[in-house]
Amino acid sequence: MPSIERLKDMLLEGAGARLLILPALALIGVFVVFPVIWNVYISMTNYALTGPRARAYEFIGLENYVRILRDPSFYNTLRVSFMFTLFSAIIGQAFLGLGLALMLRAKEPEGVLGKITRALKITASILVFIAWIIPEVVAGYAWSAITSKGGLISMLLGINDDIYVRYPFETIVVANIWRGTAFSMILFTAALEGIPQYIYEAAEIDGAGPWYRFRHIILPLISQAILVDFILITIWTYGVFTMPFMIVGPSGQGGVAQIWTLYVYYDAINVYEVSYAATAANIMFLIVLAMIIVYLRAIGYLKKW
Amino acid sequence: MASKTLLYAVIAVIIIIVIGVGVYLAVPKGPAKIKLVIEYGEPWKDLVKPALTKYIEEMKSKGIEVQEKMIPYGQDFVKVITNDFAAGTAGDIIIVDSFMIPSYASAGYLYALDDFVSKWSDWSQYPEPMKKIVEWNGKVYGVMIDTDVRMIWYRKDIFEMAGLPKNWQPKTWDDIFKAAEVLKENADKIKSALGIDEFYPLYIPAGTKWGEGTTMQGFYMVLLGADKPPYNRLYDYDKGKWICKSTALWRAFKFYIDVYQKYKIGPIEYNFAPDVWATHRKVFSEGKVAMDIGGSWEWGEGWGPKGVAPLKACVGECGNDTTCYTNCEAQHIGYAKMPGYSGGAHGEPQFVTVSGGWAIVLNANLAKDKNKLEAAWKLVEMIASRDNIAKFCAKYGKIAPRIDAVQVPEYAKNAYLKNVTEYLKFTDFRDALPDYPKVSNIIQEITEKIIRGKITDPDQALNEYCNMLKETVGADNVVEYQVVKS
Repeated sequence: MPSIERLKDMLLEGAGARLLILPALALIGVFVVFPVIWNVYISMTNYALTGPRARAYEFIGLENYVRILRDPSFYNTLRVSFMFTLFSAIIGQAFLGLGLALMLRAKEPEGVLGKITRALKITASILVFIAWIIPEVVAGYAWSAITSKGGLISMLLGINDDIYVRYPFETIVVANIWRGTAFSMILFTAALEGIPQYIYEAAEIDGAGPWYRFRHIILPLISQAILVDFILITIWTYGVFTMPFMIVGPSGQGGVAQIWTLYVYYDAINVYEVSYAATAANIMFLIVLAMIIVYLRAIGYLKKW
Repeated sequence: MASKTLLYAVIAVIIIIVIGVGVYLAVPKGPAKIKLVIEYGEPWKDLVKPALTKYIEEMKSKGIEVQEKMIPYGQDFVKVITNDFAAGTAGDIIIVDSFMIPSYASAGYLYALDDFVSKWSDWSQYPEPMKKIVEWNGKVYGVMIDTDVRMIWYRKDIFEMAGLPKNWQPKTWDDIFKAAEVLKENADKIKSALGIDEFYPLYIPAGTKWGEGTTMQGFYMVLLGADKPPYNRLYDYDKGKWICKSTALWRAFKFYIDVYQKYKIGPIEYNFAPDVWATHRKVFSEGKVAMDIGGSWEWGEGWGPKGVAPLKACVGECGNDTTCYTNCEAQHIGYAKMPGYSGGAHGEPQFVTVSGGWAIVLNANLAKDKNKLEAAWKLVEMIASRDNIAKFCAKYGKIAPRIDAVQVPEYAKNAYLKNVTEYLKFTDFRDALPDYPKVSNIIQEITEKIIRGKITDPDQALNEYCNMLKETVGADNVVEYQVVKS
């Protein structure tokens, strides 16, 4: 007679355990692996959403890849996506997130000033969190509204024009910083919490100033967190779609702010060239993969070091 | 002991599930029901609803159910429907933009209606051009439900303020630019009189946000009058090739450059608004735009009493009185024919307009189920019936595609429709071939570059157009004409 212990063993080890993974594997297979393979296949055909090539499409090998590498708008998209990631993720979100995390950790002075500082800290973190939890579609509409003529930001900056039309790239960069900073802030706050208090105290006794403490104690100790943050926000920012789509539309306003997700959408939905869009998506996938490998190597290097 | 209980429990659950499924499959489901799905954009709500109510009433006993899939305003109907077709989720009966019919039909998405229309007595009420629009490769794929023409809408009250005639009809493109210049000079006066903070003399749709609107409402209206036929098109029917370079294309691009860059009389930012259609209706209604190149439906759908952006002054004056409103609308809004570039002096048409419209089609999937197909066609007949179409068109200022619509009093009484029906005498049609949507997209991209200032002269526009066209349809499928640059 099988005891409950044996049943547990059966389920959690050996063949039984593998059986239990099956449903999850099936889901990943259907919703992740298959679409990737399908996308590679589609990129090697001339399939279109409508027209004769929707019914009778053919295998054309690497023709789409050759075509896309000769397409100036593709290089424009690469450049825009790179700048978008650099400015809105690495420079914007990560630095602002780190700054906010340091600020939240700063010691509060005694008395009334301390209370004010505390209130400011709470307000700041609430604001940052709100940006993170608002639905993207709502945020997108809100940004179009406040950056349009007569909108809040246009008025504050004294620009009597639609900012999202005149400066589409800058608008989506700022909007994305606004939205994504909370994540970096949380990550860095957790990392800073992990630094034992006695290290600070020892440094202070040794006479280290704030900059020295930051440069030689905090930064080395949170360097792994920084790398993890870079990896995640790079991937996310690379995949951002909804807000830029709402603000600048699929063409990125004549290409000025056309990040690659918009480029893929534009080719698939506006031009109906699904196979071409799939090609672009695959190339972008390889680029993200390369970036992640670089990051992971950097982490491995750090660990050894 | 515990393990035994667990084992029994698992077995019991399995048995219950097996019995449940068995019972579900074994029990008869009653008479087979037909479920139809009708998919349409919100502008056709008042066309579909009355017919549908009647249809459901009549068909209830036959077990036919109809589910509605209405695409709301603010969405690009063509894109939604194209995606639904490609994904296999389109309705059984769909209202589509007629220019997509060749593209959908060649993709195998549509059911050919020849057998139905040949037996349908109403089919003879459709004039030849309205039959041609829904044809592809010699087969009929749809029934037109409305058609339209395009014109220059202008604000009579604003023209008067600037000292321009209230009854205005430009004879050449120059006349349009001259009027725009006068309006521009009087901009401050107009702004303070209307209490608005911005004012643009002329709006011609441009860019990708407009989608097909850019090509149809804007570009064709210029292109068709830019040279003599057959050189004033996108496609050469003799050679069976797309036109890559021509004088007409050069002049049409120049028109856009003149409006948005040289004279700066057009509103760049409206072309980038989140909802360009709603914005264009709103700004014209508010008087922020004095001349607007657009479609005949705007009389009702845009600025009519039940439209998207009714005239504030007329709503204030008339309240819910539609007759009063329509009179008031005619006092404020005028429409003029779009002239050829030199008014016909160089062999191009004296006036131009272009017609499109929407059609009702059936999904090719219906071929699998004869009963469903018959039921779907019955609904098409009811939606496309004389009274239903005439009443809908009269209400929204749309031109009915049926000749007998004039027998319906609501339609016959409509003075506006009587006037614009005149435009049908000189109307033209798009080069709606399967590749047309992609060519149209190139035009949208080029005009977007023009309004963004990335393209600054017509030569550059023409070269980029030609390169993109070759990429899209293949270099063997294009023809280049000599370009006269004046």
